[in-house]
Amino acid sequence: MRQRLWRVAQICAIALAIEGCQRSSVDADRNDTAAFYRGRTVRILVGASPGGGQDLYARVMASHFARQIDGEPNVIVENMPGAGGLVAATYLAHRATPDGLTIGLLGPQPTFVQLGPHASFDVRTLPIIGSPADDGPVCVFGHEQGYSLDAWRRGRTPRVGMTRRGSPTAAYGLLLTEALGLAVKPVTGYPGTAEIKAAIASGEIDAVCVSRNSFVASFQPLDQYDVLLQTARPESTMFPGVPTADQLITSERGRTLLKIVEAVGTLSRYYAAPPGTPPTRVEALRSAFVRTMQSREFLAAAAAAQLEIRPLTHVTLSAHIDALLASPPDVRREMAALLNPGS
Amino acid sequence: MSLDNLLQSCAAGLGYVLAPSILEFLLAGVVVGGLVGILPGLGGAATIALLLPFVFDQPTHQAFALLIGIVSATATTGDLTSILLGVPGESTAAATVVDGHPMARRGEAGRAIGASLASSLGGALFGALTLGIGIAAARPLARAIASPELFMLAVLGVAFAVPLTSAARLKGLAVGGLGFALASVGLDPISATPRFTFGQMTLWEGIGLMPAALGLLAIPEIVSLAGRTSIAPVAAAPARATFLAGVYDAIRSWRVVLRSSAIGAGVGLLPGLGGSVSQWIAYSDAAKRSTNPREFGSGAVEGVIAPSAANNATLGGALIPTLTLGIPGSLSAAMLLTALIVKGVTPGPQMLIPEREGGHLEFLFALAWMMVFANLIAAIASWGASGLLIKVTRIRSGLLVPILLLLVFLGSFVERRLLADLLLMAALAAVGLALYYFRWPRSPALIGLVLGGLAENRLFLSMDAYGRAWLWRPGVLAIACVIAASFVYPYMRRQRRPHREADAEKQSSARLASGERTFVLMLLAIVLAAFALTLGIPGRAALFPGSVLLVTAVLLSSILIRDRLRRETVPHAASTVDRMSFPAVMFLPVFVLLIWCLGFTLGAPAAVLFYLMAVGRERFVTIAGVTIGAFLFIEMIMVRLLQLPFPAGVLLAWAGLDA
Repeated sequence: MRQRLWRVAQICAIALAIEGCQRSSVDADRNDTAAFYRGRTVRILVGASPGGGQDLYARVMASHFARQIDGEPNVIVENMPGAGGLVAATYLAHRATPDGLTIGLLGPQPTFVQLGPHASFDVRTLPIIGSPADDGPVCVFGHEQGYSLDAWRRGRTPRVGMTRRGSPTAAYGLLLTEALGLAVKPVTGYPGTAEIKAAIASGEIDAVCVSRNSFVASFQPLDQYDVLLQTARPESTMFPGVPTADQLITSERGRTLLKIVEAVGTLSRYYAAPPGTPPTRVEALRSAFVRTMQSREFLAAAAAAQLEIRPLTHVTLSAHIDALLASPPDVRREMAALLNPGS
Repeated sequence: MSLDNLLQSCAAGLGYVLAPSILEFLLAGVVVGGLVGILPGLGGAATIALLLPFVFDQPTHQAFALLIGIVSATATTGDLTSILLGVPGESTAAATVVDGHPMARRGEAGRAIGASLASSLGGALFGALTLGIGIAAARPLARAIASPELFMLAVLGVAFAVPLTSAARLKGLAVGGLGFALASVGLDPISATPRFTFGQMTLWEGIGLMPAALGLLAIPEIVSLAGRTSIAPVAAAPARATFLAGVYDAIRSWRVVLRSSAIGAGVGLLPGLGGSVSQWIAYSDAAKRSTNPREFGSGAVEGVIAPSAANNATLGGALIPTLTLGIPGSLSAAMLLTALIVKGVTPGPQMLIPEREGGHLEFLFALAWMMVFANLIAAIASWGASGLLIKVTRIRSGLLVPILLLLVFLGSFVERRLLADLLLMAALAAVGLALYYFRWPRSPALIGLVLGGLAENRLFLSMDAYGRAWLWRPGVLAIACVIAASFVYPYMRRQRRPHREADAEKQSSARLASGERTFVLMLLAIVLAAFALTLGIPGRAALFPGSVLLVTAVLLSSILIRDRLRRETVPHAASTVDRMSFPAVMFLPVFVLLIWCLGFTLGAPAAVLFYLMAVGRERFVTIAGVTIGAFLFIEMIMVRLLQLPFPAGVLLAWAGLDA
């Protein structure tokens, strides 16, 4: 009995000692991190123009993120639009100093480019911080155009507006409708979602397939539009009663394409650091990101800006990127042809 | 919406704005915007983006007072830099350089500033009135204007520009063709096929407006300045007297102010256009209707009045679709829309309903009144500072030139934060210098750059969305009639004054100088080489650049053939720019090299230092003061305050000193 008690006491002592070492190590790390970030500025590079959905996510998060990073640095948002986010991603991969003071808000574009032969960097070398929300597409029609899903399925062909080939609107508009066998007349080349909205208002086009959060952020007032289709993943209660793509899929190829659409949504916005950023700082940023996503003030600010918050960890995001890049060659070729600008 | 409701809401909106806390934020916005407008490249929209986190925490009216103050003041003070220094303070103030700076060079800076401020105020009032009254018409307008009408508007802008060059029509058209060709650099807007990008991702989004405006317009003016003692002659007229003369010019040209304001507000209504387009359309319209169109380009006061009025009226027009349909009419309006949504003000029909019924009509009128007051404050403040600002035109050129070059290089970088834009600006500066030296018009290149992308994009969208039916839309036919009238009217005017036009035609038909002939041949070679490249571009992406380059090649060939066929040996007119300072030209690549190697913070002041020592020949104390001032300006304002991400120079990066 005495021996057993002694053994338990030894085990407890060892466990406490290990815990104490880790904590002091963590505390030492956190002290170092706090000392590093104190008085400095963290830049969030956004690969989109000011005023859009991506930009809004970064700006709403910035001040709350600053309070959660040890040392409470200043956090600013910088826009580096171009090539659907590729200019910002390339800058992050090749030019940004990997010191933990620069992170980028990326979209799916860098992963798509890696499906083809023109990638200038491996997207997997960028340490992922996290994502504030995955997203999924909705196909949205102008209320005055008078479309219904039944009419669409019966063969009425809407004119669907898209920005440039390779953009999310083009990816959603082409892949999702292809997956479901729905006919569309693509009208490609609008400079941005504002122009697509204007085109719907003038009757030039009938619809657009855009991410849910972008729709809510950029297509106010919402009652001018009818949402006829959405994807089941990620789950959302934004549009109850709207049919999901899963309910309408009829072929295996359709299921494959739908998985790609969901991957586009999962990677629609996530933060990453430059390759070579010290692991302790990556961890510090990850922890700060998680705390921000749980912060009541941030959640209230996001709700006020009508931004959905459904955080994803770096583990989930990395798994999606790996899965996409491990697609069979014929799928990769098809995706590269559809989704790559400049190819 | 009854008239009673409208008037009551208008009065309530005024009541909001007159509250001291609102006026404080408005004043702060005007101060910030005024400073931003003077610095080339920074931009009102980018400043709003920087301040959005601060805005989120403020009450709604105060937040918008700040933002409207910034946007309004930027549109006003950007013109001041254009007039005084020949460097556009904003991309929307480029047209003001064309006639404003020549006026400053003549010693009429005060007159130009007076005309600009008065017409800016007039334009802003028109824009505010349009916002208040035109808001109910937003929905029918949104239905009527689509891609076909936008394409025709781009054609209209080009058509208006043609008579700008009545004295040298072929040359102007050729330069315009070059501008159109430059607009096709980048990814094709539809198929994303790269065109003339040479594997550079930084060119995927095309050529930035600021580097183009600075290279084509500002650099030649600066190089010309280096060959003179100062911008203006020492014995210029007193500032205040000429300022009032300029105000009187604007009042006398009230028709120009009214028409240009209408153009500005009208263009602002259309998404994606904004002040960059409205300034040139207004300028071209004023030139076309002027009784002295040949003065445009060399210091016509109407050439200052028109773009200033249009610029400031644009915001009022742009806010209409922004507030009622959630469709931003300009980049600044897009930023304001973001702020609206974050503050919980949803754009839509509620903007037309009084607050007691759950709407935001009073807020809408408050925005209109904010525009009025912001522009009034900006105009008064600029008038107060004008005496001091005009003194800049008498600073000796040896001191001013390196500072202006510093501002130009900063402005080229700041718009898109790309070092490659410095090289683009330098390349376009070479073209701009040649055009300036041979007295070819430069503004058609910028007009082509601004309108070319719009024209191509909207033409293909029209064809895809409507098939051939777009040609018969009422709006298309109406604009086509206006375009036809724009060609007929000058022809009829030429018939009424045959002698004056014949003299002008004869003078403009002087034979090309030998250097000029070589220049045309080089341009032709470049255009043909670019055309050859389009043959390798697949599909529809090749159509627009191919057609434009072919037409430009034909125009350049016509210039050479016409020159060859002329039997009269009319001597080449003496150039007023034969005092261009070639040492200053040589220093342009030195600036680029130093910034590339050492970065902005060290390289730019180093370049200023070398210029002052080698070319400026200033005293040591002056050299030290200006160099240290340049360093502090970049380090304290650009890097620390504005947090601009200047890349480290390649030498510093190689030596590991870039942390």
